[in-house]
Amino acid sequence: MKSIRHQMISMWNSLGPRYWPFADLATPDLPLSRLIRLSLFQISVGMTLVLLVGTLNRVMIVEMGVPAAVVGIMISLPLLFAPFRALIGHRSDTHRCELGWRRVPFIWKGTLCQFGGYAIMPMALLVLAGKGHADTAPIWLGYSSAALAFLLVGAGAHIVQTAGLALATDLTPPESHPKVVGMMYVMLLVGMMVSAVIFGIALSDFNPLRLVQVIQSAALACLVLNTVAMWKQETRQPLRNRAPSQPDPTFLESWTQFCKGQHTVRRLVVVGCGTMAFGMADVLLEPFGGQVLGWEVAATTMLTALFALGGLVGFVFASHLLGRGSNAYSTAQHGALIGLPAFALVILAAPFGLSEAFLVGNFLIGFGAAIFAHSTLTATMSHAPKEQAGLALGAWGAVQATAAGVGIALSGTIRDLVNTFSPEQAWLGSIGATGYITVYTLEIVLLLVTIAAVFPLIRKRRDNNPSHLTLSRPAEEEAVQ
Amino acid sequence: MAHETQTADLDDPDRIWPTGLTIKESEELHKHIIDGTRVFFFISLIAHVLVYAFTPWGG
Repeated sequence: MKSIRHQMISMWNSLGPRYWPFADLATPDLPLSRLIRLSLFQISVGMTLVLLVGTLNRVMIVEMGVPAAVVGIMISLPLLFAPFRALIGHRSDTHRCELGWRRVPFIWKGTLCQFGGYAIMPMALLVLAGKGHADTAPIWLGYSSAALAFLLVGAGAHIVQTAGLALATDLTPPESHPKVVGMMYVMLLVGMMVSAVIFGIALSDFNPLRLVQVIQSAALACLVLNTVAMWKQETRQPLRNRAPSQPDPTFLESWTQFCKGQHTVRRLVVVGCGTMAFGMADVLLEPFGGQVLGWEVAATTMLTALFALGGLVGFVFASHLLGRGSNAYSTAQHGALIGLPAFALVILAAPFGLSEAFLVGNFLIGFGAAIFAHSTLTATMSHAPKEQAGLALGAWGAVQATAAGVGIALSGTIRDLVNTFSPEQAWLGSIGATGYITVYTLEIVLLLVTIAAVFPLIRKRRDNNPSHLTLSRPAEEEAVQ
Repeated sequence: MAHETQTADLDDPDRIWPTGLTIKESEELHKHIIDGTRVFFFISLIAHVLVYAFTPWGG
């Protein structure tokens, strides 16, 4: 009996680390528990995304009766801050303070912004909707306070994510970056999924008090998660505060220097085109299922779950591939290539009524998008010049978030415009399908542009590193050349 | 580690224990606390104005 027990224990011991996701990331200096703790900031960002784009989007329109156009403007406000991510990244790269931190002050300030925005948001929304006695309040009060709340929450999430990812880059060696990115993305997805379920249950019986409770709980959760994430993570380097031998570069100087890197602009174009190609589908898949294929609400909700599942599988798969040393841009290209048949399947589903093709296409879009996003972020981390990690990740985030936002805005506009001006097309299977199919075709074109733009990057990597099996910093590569 | 680190000199006589912070470091920490308090005050002011608009109190 005792020997069986010992055998079982040794079996669990041998199985454990092998099957723990991301267990191989840990080093003696950076144990897994610390990495998981660091990735908690992504949960707060995921929660913010779900609350702004999903939950409040619906609650404001359906339960509170706010006009859809006003809701659309409010939700898009955080996007205005996205381009400033590059500036935030640069400021955190060059930040000097007595305490010797570069990233922590930014994560803390971002957290304060998020908390502050959430703290006033429920009351701002209630005043905006004219609930209670707010119908007699001046109209500007609701608009300005709601705009301030959305702007603060969005800006906070952008700052926290930029500085947090830069801190993760600082703490981990280049060969671990693919797994770190995988872990960060998985935590973002976990944050989104868990908070979507919790918000859904908590707001099922909607009343103003419940809205205040839910959003202010989110504020507290953000504060706690981000504080726990950054606690004792960054090594203090007070000596950095001493006057440097040469002054720190300005943002413009840093940006010019950053853009001088080989193919830097091309890399950002790849991120922008690919993200927009995949992002345009985000808000159209569910209405396409309902409007064109005639699916019920429950069935279309399943599409989002399938899309998320595809994303989760994609992140794990990309982590595996990149962790084994695959070229990040080659993997990104494969992600974009997967998008081509995926969108073709979705397009074919309309005229032939192929529900299965639509489901498979939906899963593949999530899968391809995840591989693409993972690979481009990994490449950004690994190519980031040593003293410009914040700027590089900020530029990636700025392009990615702006492209995703513009993609979402464009997709809805193009669909409506095409449907308004095009005659009814029976061959597409349903009235209203033309607009959707125009957008999906445009997405295929954008993917083709992305695939073509990636080729020189893969060639460059192969030229630099014939085995192209290891991830190394470009600064080191250039130094070798 | 990806970054070269220059950690604090713990034998520095300017450090005051048990916190181990220098005067300048503690002043900076204090500044963060004061700034944070100002932000919270400003946010709570806006929140109170909005709550008053939603459900006025005091008659």
